[in-house]
Amino acid sequence: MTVYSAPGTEGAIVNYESRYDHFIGGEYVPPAKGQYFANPSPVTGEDFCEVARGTAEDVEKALDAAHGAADAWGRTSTAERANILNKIADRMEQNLEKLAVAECWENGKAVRETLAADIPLAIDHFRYFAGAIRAQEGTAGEIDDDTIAYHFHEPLGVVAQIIPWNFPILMAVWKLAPALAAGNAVVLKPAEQTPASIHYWMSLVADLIPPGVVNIVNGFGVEAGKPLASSNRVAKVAFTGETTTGRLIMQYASENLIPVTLELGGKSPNIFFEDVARADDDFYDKSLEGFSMFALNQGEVCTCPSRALIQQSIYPDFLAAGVKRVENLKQGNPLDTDTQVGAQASNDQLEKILSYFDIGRQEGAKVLTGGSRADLGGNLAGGYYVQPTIFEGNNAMRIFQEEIFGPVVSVTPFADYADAIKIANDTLYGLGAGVWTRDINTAYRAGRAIKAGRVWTNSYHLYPAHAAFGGYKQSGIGRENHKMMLDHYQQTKNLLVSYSPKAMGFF
Amino acid sequence: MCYLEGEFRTGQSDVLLESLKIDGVDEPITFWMSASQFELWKHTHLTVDVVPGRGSGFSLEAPEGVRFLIRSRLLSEQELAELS
Repeated sequence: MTVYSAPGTEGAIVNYESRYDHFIGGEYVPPAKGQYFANPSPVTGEDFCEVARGTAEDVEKALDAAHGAADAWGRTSTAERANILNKIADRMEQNLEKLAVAECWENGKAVRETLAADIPLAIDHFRYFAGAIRAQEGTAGEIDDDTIAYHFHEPLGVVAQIIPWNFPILMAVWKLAPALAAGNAVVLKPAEQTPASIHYWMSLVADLIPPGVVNIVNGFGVEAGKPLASSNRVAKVAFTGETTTGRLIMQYASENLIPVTLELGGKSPNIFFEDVARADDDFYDKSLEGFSMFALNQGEVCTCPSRALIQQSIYPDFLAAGVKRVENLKQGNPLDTDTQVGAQASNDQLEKILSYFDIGRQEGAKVLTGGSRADLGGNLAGGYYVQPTIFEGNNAMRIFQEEIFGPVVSVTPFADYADAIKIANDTLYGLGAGVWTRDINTAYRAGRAIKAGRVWTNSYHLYPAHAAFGGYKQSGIGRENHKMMLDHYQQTKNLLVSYSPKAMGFF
Repeated sequence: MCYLEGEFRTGQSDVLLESLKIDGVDEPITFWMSASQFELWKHTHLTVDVVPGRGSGFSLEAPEGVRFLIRSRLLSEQELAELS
């Protein structure tokens, strides 16, 4: 067990600056209007730095820098870009522990998770796209003996990326790695809830990236995000976040006729078929862990398995074992490597979750465990902690239909396979799902029948590069995490070439 | 989310729930919801509360140090009868 010292205190392995400006054209630039906003740590609720409150003027300056860099960057060889991505990955690996503590402090998530998942995945993501871009090739189609259609991949140019607060570094890397590999310059806006950790990352890798290729503008959505997303100087907008904002970003994009990729909300079903309980063995234990996965990252994951569907024949026993498992989760100081559940990322998130506890109870859902704010006392008393919570109810209730984004699962039984699929698909969303069974036929059929982009089968919450991730229905457009993402950051250039010296004969 | 009137395009897949009259604001504030969401929410009474904090997305109040928070309660049988 290790308890890391909080950044800014004695013994800390990583410290934040007291203030962050915008990172534009390879250097730090103060905001045009001179304003800053405070950045609290969810661990204690206390401010630890201030961050530039960007406006349209700052966005324009960042776009100037990106446009100045985009052409030269787009012409670099894929070997050169891949080398840079690999060097970024190496630098991150050398500083893994520091990055993990920095993200923990800013987001409130447990450091065991940033050490084991967020940062290692981010590192691997750069390496994956370094490899993918080297291996990518265009095509040559022989239309006829004289005519060849060549297809080349070309970068889009300057792209906008708007990053969520639930995985401030990993979600930025999911977008940066393919965009940079494909040869684009980026203007990135971090979430205002977690604006600083990406600057710590930049402090480690800035010397590896040509000036202007990655620019970071901080600020609020309405003041900095909107001028970026609605700019006619970006060739694409990539957004991860809430569904209404995704729709607004798509509306802006329609004004400029540019593509968007959107990774939006979810209400993912986690289905436990009766055969999981056929034996009390490793697999049964694993399925109970799978049930408890709703609390991972404090439920602040768009694919949080927030609806558990359990077959009626095993319902009482499986649920009782699941409750016990959840009650044994260790919630506490996120900087303690033994802590499994940390703090919600913001006070607003905390309040929203509590409001769902209220409506859940009013609708008649039964609280099996949790159901209130967690007071951890001491210097954590001001932090944003919520007890992992299990509701029992039915799929029509609002807590079964809305993305709560907290450590909250809503549980209901199902009768048979058809009933399970019906409940699973009775949702506005289609991002993730889980299927647990020992029967390969059930696993396959259920996986194909669920209308969601990612169906974890006898697993949950794995996010390796090279497995496409993205949503059906109102969960978004496009895929991340896979080489196909390169297409989302590239134009297709077709050269249609005639090798015949003869006139075509039309005129 | 709260946007300037006209900022967010609403259409056939949305429902106008109410035009709210706010003291000190000349124009009514229209309150919209997507029709699919309304189907799931229509048995509840909504209060748009304002609490200290930081809004998110592109919502107008975010820089002001406050945020909107929806509080919900079940509609009474009498209210449901009036609305049906």
